[in-house]
Amino acid sequence: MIDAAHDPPEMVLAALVARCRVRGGFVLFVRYSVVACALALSIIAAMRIIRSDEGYGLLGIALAAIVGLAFGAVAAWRRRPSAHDVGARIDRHLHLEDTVVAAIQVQHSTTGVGPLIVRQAVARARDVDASVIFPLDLGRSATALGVAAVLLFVATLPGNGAPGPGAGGRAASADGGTSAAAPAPDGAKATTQPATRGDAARGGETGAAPSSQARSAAAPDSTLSTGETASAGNDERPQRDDATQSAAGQSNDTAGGERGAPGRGATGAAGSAGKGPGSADVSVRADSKGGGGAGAGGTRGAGAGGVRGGALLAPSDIATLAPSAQPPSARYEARRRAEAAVARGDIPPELRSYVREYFRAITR
Amino acid sequence: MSGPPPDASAQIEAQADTFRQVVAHLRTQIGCVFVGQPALVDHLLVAFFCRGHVLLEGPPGLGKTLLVRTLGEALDVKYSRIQCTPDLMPGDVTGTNILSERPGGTREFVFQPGPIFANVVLADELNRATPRTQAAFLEAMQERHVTVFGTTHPLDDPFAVFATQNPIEMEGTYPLPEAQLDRFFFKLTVKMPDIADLAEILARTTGTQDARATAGFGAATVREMGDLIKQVVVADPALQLALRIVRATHPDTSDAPPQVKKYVRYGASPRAAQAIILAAKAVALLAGRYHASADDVRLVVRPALNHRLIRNFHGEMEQISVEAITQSILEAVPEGS
Repeated sequence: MIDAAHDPPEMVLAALVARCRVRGGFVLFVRYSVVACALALSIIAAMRIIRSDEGYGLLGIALAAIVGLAFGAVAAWRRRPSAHDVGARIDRHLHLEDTVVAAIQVQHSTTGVGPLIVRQAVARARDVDASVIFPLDLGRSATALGVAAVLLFVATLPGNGAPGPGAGGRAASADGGTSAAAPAPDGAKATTQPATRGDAARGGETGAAPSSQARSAAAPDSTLSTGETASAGNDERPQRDDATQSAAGQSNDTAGGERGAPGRGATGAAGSAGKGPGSADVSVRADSKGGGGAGAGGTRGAGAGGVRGGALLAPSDIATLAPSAQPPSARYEARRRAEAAVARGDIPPELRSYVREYFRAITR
Repeated sequence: MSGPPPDASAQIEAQADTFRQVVAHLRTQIGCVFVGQPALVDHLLVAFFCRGHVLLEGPPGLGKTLLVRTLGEALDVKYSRIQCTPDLMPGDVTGTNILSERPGGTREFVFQPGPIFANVVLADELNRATPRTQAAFLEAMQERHVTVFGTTHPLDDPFAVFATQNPIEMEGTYPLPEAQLDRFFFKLTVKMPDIADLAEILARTTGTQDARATAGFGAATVREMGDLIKQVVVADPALQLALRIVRATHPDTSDAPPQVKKYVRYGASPRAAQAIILAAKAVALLAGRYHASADDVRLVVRPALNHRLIRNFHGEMEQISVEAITQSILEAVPEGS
């Protein structure tokens, strides 16, 4: 331990510089590691999107962390601040008029002024805190990059109803058994939303819509598409497999309300993987056989697999699906209250139809 | 660790204290006679202790001659004044050989030193001398010796030429060539005093009291201080800054700011960098430091570049001042090494 009061100024200066260099290296390590981890996470997320790969969950995080730390260590080592850099930074920070830099320059010289400069530098900078000179500040860009990468990664994690081919494509794929492992609850939600509009591709994105949403929104459509009704099958209410029942107020068993002919819905929903009505059917069947897997199809496929296959599900199959674990969204709550208000008649009768249309519109 | 002998540092410290005392003494003595403009006085002293020559420019009657004379008197060094006119000959400045008769009756040429053989030489209105006479100054300023009839005579040490010129009356003058201007360490502009300073000048000069400077120290002290200044260390950021500034004065370099590219014909020579660094060392020593910093460099850039930036036709026609160009350089050049 260096005693600034008693040790020679040269030693105190050397210790100060060494301390600051270590700190500077650590800050660089953290900064580079964050950036590298963020980039690695982003690449993994991009791979997941591009390759429809469900892997790289925890493994991805571990891989990104290892890559980030390794890169951070190497980069910090290579670009660690020199003694001169440290001196310049201390001078700038404490307004020392290049005293520390000059002291570092002359600390090994044999000139008469060398010790005087070192003494002045030590007198002015001996109590400096390395963490003040090198604060652990990632900077805006690095922070933003890190947050964005984490969000992107989380959004593409399996079971988050995130966008991406991994969703719809898998759900509607013929090997529905595989995707059956995905959580059912989200899948159930996902299936309801596209049912209203018959836009399966969007269903995955807006899959958070609760099953009951389908009750009002999907019902009119489902009347037009009898037989297309998909079974998201995660609601606790009794499941039915035809659109007529759905319109009557059943829960989200009316996922696949496509206006068009049967098969359009499935194809669109399935996205890349949907080959046609048949594939969707297979998918759903396989999911349901997998035990609670029907939701998986819905999770990603946004009513992909659900659209067509649902009609073929037996109520008993649907009943085995897992219930929704997620609370209703704020939007749903607002909508529910608004509907209740409409039902109570708080709204002038002449405006009710407009209000209703409004809610339908925002639902879409 | 092998370091300098302990007494070396103590000796330097003592010399530095003496330097500050000398400068404080000179400031006080000059302040008794010359009113106001402390920055001008400081730059003058810095240039003198760095053994540089100074070009003083200003309208008549502002005390340029008085300032230099007071410096010589306060330091107790040999002072001489040369009033330059078109008929001033080089021999009038440097001295010449005169025929002298010895006691034995033999005659021989004996060198009679001119007024340039002094520690502080005031060349009043130097631009009124002919180029030939100006050239005599040139050798003396640069080489610190004069050659008369093939014989070289060294000048006194310290030796500093303080030349003045009047920027108003240009008729009948011979503007100093760039090569000669470059010999000057600093070019200082003497400005019109403000109301308060003018009142003080009137009070001092129209009364019965005649203020005179008190002599002290001497040439040996000045020599010692000059050697001390050279021992001051220049921090890397300061050195880099000085180099960048000098480089930025050249319009054909990529570092030059737009003002320089547009209005400058020739930039500063390496002598400018030498002057900047040496002056920065003196400023640092005055501030109690033993190293020159970037701030010291910035303090002395203006007087060092004042006469070394040669404007082009556009610059002269648009009356862009050298100070403005220097300011643009200072703003454009980044700090740090």
